[in-house]
Amino acid sequence: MTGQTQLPTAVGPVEGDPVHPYPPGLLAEEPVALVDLLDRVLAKGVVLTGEVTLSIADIDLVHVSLRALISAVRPDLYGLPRPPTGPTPADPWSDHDHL
Amino acid sequence: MTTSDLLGRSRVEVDSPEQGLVALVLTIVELLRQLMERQALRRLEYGDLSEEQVERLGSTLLDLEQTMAELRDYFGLTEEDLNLDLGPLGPLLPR
Amino acid sequence: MTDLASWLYAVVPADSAPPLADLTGVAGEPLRLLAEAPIGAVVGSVPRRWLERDPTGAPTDELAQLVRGHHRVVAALLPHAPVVPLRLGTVFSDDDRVRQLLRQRTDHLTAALARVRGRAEWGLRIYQAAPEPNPTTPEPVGAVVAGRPGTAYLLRRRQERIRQQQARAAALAQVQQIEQTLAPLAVAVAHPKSTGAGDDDKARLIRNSTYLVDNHRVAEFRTAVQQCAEANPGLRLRLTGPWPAYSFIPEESP
Repeated sequence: MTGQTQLPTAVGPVEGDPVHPYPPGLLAEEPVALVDLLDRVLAKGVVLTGEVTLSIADIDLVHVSLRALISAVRPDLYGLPRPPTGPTPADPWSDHDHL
Repeated sequence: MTTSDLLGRSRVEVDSPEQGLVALVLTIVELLRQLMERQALRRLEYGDLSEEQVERLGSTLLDLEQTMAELRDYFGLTEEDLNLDLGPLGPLLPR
Repeated sequence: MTDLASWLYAVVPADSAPPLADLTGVAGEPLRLLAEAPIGAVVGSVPRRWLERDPTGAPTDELAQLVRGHHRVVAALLPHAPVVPLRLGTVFSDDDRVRQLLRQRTDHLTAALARVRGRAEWGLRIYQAAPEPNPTTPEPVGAVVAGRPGTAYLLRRRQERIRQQQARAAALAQVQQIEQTLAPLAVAVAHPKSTGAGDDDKARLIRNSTYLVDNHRVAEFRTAVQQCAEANPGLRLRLTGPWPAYSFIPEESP
């Protein structure tokens, strides 16, 4: 079996801020966005039954959304510290590394 | 990459548990308001309301919309802030 | 049982030679190819302890990190061999178990490799462009004259709703035409439901599609997408790719 022919170079970032939509109609080729990754890596790909349970990835996105919502309202329910009252309350998630 | 990015609620700044709760409550109220408004428009189309009834219905909904705008302003929330991400089910409020 | 487990990234032909020395896996581990001719698996050893971390500690950022790490490996293989990507979280007790699985599923995985050879996946998300600010709708004269603001409000809202529905119907018609243009350039098309997580324009998404395209037709495909974008100023098209063919793995026949 031969390998594949060389693929075209991956789509890279282009001029323009990806946060602000491109003018309507113009094609925007953007670097890999999280939503596209999640749609594929979590929901597609070959499914083979593994043997070791992945505690982290077992939490599906709905579960995470609701938990985060509840914990934002009632952090004491999830053992998270209550944000201090005052002008800048702490975000319990904020000290995790940003990707 | 923040948690809120991952959850698709990129514009919700939950500064305190109280504001988060207010946003939740106002989202539900907004949902009801939209449902009532849609129902009212259907009745309008159906054509079985008197002019007086239409005016009363419209005034109520107009007041409700204005009150919602004031509440949002008061709590520092935008229209986009009022929504619940139900994950695979999509957002609670359409569009 | 050792304290390591085998994380499975992708299936490739056993005789392919991807540059694994240049890559690291989800746990920063080195990678290896387990060959069970004609197929092989790219795996890495990850500590079990690491896999079974307490999930109550802010799992979402760690999940995103896992997703990116897994995909980084899979995507790096793509220029070098046909790739059948594994869904996230396929972990085995050891390499022997992985080999056993490869032998059991040889036919299915060989067919999957044939399906994706010389091809890549391209994602196309179509959004409705932000609406122009509403031209001030002149209030229906009758209601204003009669001093009936409530009625005027309802009539205005009805007009807005009708306009929204028309815009949406027009957008859907345009999307259909775009798909008719692009489908012949692809080997296969799928329209999976998107989770929407992390999409900051989620509310305006009209269509999420993904296309399996022969590599030698990619330039033609991309040009066609660009032309569709220019021909439909009311829509915003977002193309991503090339992806390993996550969405086009054939089901195993019973």
